[in-house]
Amino acid sequence: MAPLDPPSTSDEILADALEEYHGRIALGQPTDPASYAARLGSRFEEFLEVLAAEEALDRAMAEPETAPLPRAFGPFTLVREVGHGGVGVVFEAIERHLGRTVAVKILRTGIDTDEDAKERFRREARACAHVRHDHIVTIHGAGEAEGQLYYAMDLVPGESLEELIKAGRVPESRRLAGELAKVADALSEIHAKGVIHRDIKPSNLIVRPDGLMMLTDFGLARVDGGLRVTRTGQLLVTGHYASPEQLLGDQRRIDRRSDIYNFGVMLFHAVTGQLPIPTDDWNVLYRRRLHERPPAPRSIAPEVHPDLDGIILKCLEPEAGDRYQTAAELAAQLRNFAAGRAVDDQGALSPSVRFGRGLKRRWKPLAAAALLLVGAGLGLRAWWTGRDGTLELRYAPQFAALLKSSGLEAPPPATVWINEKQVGALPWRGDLAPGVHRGQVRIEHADFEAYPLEDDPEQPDRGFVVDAGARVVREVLPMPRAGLGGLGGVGRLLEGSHPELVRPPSLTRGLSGGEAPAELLMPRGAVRTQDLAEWMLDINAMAFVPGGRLVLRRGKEELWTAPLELPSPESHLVCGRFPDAVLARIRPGETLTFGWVPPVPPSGTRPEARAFEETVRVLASDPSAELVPQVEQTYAAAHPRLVALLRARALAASGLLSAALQQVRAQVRDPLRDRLALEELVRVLRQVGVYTQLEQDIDDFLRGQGPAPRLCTR
Amino acid sequence: MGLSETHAALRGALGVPSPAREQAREQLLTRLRPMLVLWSGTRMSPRLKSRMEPEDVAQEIMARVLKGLDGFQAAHGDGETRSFHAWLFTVGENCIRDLVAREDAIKRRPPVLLSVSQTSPSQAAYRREQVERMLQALDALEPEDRDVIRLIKLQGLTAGEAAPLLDKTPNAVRIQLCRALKALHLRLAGPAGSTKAGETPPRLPR
Repeated sequence: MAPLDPPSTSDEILADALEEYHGRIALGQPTDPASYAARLGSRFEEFLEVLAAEEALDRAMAEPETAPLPRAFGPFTLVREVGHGGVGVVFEAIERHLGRTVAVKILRTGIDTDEDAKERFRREARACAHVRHDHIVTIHGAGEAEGQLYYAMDLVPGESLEELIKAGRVPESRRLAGELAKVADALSEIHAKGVIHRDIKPSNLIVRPDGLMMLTDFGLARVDGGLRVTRTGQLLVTGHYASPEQLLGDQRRIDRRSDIYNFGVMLFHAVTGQLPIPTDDWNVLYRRRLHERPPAPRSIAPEVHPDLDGIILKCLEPEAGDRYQTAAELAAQLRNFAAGRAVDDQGALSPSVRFGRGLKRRWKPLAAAALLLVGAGLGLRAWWTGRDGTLELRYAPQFAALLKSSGLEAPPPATVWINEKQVGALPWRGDLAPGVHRGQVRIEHADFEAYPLEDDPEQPDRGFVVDAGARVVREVLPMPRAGLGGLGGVGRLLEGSHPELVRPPSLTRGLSGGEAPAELLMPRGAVRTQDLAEWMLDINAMAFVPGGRLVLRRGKEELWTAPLELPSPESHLVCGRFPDAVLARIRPGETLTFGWVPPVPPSGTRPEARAFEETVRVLASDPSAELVPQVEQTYAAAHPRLVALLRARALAASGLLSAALQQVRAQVRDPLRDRLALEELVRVLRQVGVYTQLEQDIDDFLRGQGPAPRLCTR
Repeated sequence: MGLSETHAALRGALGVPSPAREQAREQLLTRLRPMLVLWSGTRMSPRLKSRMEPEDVAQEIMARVLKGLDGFQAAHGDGETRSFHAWLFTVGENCIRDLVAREDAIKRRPPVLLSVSQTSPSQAAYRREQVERMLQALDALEPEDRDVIRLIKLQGLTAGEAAPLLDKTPNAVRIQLCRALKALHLRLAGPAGSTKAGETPPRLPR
């Protein structure tokens, strides 16, 4: 379970306000949420968010099921649903008085009270009606029926470009470019009428059976000079295709060049089969779109022609001024490429080309960097013995030898877990006191990709960026329950005992969390201090070293100016890599909790458990209430806890489950030792019949498949 | 569907046998269905989810509810809504445990036709998507956030009732509910298409 922030007074104020708000509504006193603004102050926004989430839940729960088709709708008979987008649902329909088949797009009910959505819908109808083009779906009319807005348009047979991409049936690149050039012409015409589409993506491009492509869905179009209905910051465009300025929600900067960017992402997706930033993580998308250049399509699909590569990269320039300035320019270049003519790639150099040019200018520093990389690679090769994709924690040879020479057998391994999941086992260490040893590391970023060497005009003094397989060392002591004085104490202690390590002050903030301190240290002098502030922590491997220290490896672009000073590889007790499944769970911004749990030593609880089970067995054969006091008398002196558990079981048998839970819960003081009480707790939880993560956690722990559950202290 | 709405629908569904009662039962289940889909989505283990959709589980629960309503009526007379809710979720829990036990043998069932003619065509698609989106958002929450939302917002327990189940004080439950709803809002407000069906969406930082 992830740690929770401790409840604060302001959290309680929010909870109180929410309770009061619902109380008033229940009493038939509708209350304006705005009346809480003054009372909640800076937390009012959160109050509104909570209400919005509740409303969304209510809406989702209040939905009846489907309606049969065909059915009449205004002047149409709806035949079947052919798709749905961000604002509306599209049906194939028959216009009854003309007998013709059309597509009818209906604004979704449920958001029809949202004036923004209504206005967007009307605007779409207006925008479509403004434009007549062979490559734009023609609109026939708009209206309102059954309280819902709709418009009718040509029913275009075919599939969306998105479907073709998914099916791997995208036309050959020159043919694709030729068709898309026509779409860019259509876009140019739209722009000329003052309309920005703002949602160009493969699903909004219909490919007819004859290969002709048609642009549709103007749901997000903005008529220049028209009413601005989108609230600043509201993200309307699909995130994967959004331009940087769209992601920023900066309406003033969104213009026709945003469409060019969207177009470029669509083209990228079509020719490589991948998105430039193939992530579903909003934080990663946002950060990389705003701060990084997209990869060259050729780096993903080498068969992409360099000219097409250049066209796409020019569309994807982060700065709108560096892109094609008009759709007509883009159309011309696509047409050039389709016809095999030279493409003007001014300003659209791929990183590989830039790298080649940069190489000529900077061969000396690059050679030095290459040497460093080789050195680092050799060091890491010696360091990481785990196989890729699998966790391999094992005895270091010298440790095994030590055991052997001492005539010792290896004790059972301790459970090692990351993010509450068991990921392996750690050899028993005699000096590691029983108990949960845990620490936390906040992961700012978890990708680990090789980046092409390229010029970075924004940081000319850096010259180039390399994937150095940079390594961050985090030192974590075997953490006692108390003592050492928290983070600072651990840091001082480590610095004192490991002079080769230094604690970068800029990175230590925010590293501690929860109940145990964690500390980031790194080889002294490994990097320039001024680079540290820019670090994003990428961790793709870990090692446990003597003293209970944990070493994490990261790989990401960094400029290294000094050799890596690896701690002695001989010092490592065990090492390993995160398995893919663990990597997949590590998300930017998440706190990674790691730790290891030595095996629970056999304790006195087992005889107690046997006595308990025996008593229960007797009770089961004679379920008379009188037996309980007898049992209490028998065991009270030796096992007061057992008696409490028996009482709990009696309560549970009487249906007083809540009281039983409390009774059992009170007996769990230390999950590592109170196994019997834990077993009973999970049993009562099951009897309550309401599954919770707590039940699962306890169960996992009891089966040795998870860390000790974190129970609240009262 | 809140308790008050359930109450009205339940009264009709528990009358003497008649065509009107059957219609009311169908209506009751139709109304319960989205909530049961969400409940199932938050209650199913990842393993079960890999085998079945929440819709299938909700369908199974509804089938059992339909079969068991006479028994419930016999035990509870005209039906007190809280008893019905307690019974409903017990049926749900049992259903899920049974499904886990025999998940290999489960085959997808065609949906029972529970149509409400007054639903507009666009509503149907929109609502399906809304439920799907909500499921994805709930799925992306921390387990304890999901638990607190399920127990309080879907099952209608009070903070006091949910507290021992979550090993928290009632006050901590109230606070966690607020946090969970904020996290849910954050998920729902994310970019369209940021999560896809069948994929586990990333967790947001707390």
